[in-house]
Amino acid sequence: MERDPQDPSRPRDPPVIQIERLTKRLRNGITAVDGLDLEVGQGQVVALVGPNGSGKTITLRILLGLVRPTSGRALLFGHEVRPGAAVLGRVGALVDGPGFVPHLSGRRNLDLACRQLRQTGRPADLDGAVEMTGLGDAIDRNYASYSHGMRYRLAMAQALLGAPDLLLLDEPTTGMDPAQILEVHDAIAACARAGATVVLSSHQMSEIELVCTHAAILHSGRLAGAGSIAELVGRLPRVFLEVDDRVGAIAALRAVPGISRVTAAGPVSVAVEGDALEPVELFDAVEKSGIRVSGFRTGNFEDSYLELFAEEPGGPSVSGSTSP
Amino acid sequence: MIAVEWYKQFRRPKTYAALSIVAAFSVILTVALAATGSGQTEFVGDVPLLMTPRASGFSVPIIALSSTMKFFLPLAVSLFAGESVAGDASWGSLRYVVARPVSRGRVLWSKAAVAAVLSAIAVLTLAGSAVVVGGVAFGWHPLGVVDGSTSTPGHPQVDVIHVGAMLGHLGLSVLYVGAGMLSIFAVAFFLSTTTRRPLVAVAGGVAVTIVSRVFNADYLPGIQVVNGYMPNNDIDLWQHLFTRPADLSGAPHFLLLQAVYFVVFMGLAHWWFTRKDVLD
Repeated sequence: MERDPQDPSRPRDPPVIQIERLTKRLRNGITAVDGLDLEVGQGQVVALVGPNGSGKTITLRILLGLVRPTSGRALLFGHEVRPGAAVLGRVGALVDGPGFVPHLSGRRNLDLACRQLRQTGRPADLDGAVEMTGLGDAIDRNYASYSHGMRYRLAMAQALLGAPDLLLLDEPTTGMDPAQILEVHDAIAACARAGATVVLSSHQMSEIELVCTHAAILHSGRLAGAGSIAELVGRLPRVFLEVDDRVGAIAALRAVPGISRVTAAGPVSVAVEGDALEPVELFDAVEKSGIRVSGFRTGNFEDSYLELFAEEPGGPSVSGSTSP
Repeated sequence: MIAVEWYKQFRRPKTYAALSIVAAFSVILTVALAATGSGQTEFVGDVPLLMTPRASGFSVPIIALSSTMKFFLPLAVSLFAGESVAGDASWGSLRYVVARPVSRGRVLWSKAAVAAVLSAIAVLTLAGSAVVVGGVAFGWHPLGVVDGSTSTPGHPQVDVIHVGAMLGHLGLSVLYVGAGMLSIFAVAFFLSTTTRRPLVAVAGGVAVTIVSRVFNADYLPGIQVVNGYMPNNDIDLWQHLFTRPADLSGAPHFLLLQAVYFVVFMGLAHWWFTRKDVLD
């Protein structure tokens, strides 16, 4: 029987990812993940961001059953993740770079991955995967002869085998040229359109803003911020002006009503914070002081990310969900 | 799972190389015997056997097994066992193998099965190629061995082992030597689950036979207590199948020791692999 999605009695689907008080202490004594709470909803494209060592890759490995948590738990589609758990059949992954058998061709490596996937009951289309790599005749060459970019393309094709419901990608565009990066972004967008959930770990803030709908920011294994990209960017209403006299511009802008803070943001740039900032007003205020404005941009995700860590050098900590 | 693992391992250049070298050993040995053997009765192995190598091609597999059982075969077995998990780890593919909805135990035992089959192929290749090449060179004649029970000093009595019995004895010898590889296999396989450097695991397997030789009471009578627990000290007992009288009294202890080493180290491999964090 078909149920009305609005029906309150309809059982709510569990989050695609549910992480509860997750902690992982490594054997060297380092706490890689420290009481992490996070929920990711269906269809979201979530960026997992944070400085190196913030726990992104370990979190992804826990979600794949590769690493056992010290305490807490991680659930995928409502099922607790354990090594070899059946729910892993719904997951595609590229974690810590590509990993293939070097003496076999790209095609043969994908064929082996297809066979393994079919054994778990999921259909896998080898020809489709081969086409997706875009490697042409090189697909029949030994993997050991592949360039860095070719290896990542093969790894992406492997991750997408069997049309996974959840895609976990750890810096999937590392070392790729711009055209290849665009292809990966298209593949992620296609997955999202097909209803899959994507978690993408990346240091490329522009990539995140372009591809992701949500972000979870990690610091020292804890959640430092989470929400939609729009929320995280809008958390700090800010614009940047490029001027030929930074000191003069700061003085002129501080006199404009509604502005809460004006700071230098580079050799020729000032950052202006406040509510309901009107670019025309700002331009007028600066140019009336005889200062030329040569550029203007609104705040972006990278600004918000950097600001988050500037606020609390030790790293902020929140618990939350990427879902509204 | 086993089919996938078999394809990965069997298509490795190292697998081809190891099996080719094992087969080539028999050819080189036969050529050397044909070129330099005088056709006189000679001592073979540590037992020792007394035989005339060129009188029968069956002498070649006996000499081949005798000269490879303490280093060359352990090296080949260590290679297959040691590379099996650590090889995947070093390629970075282990994480993608175990991130699937397949139990780690199944992954591990599939790898163990393939490595064991390749190890068995190595032993069989050595013996089989030696029988074939030796027979082609010297003929598959009955083999004459000295009967120690009836010989007197200066008057050796030759006992003849006929072809049928010879094949049976060779089969038992191959099984014995194969069983003697179990401890080496298990140690290398266990180490393979703990490292991403296959060479470490391979070296660990070879070390079993080296340590056994170091703590061998035949050379150091003062370490008799340890000697009984060294896994490879009695690997040459199969040679008694070709002596008269055949003293195989130490064989049950040796086979039991192999079984114990195998169960303990394969158990450790399972325990570790099913619990380890895959960070490779």
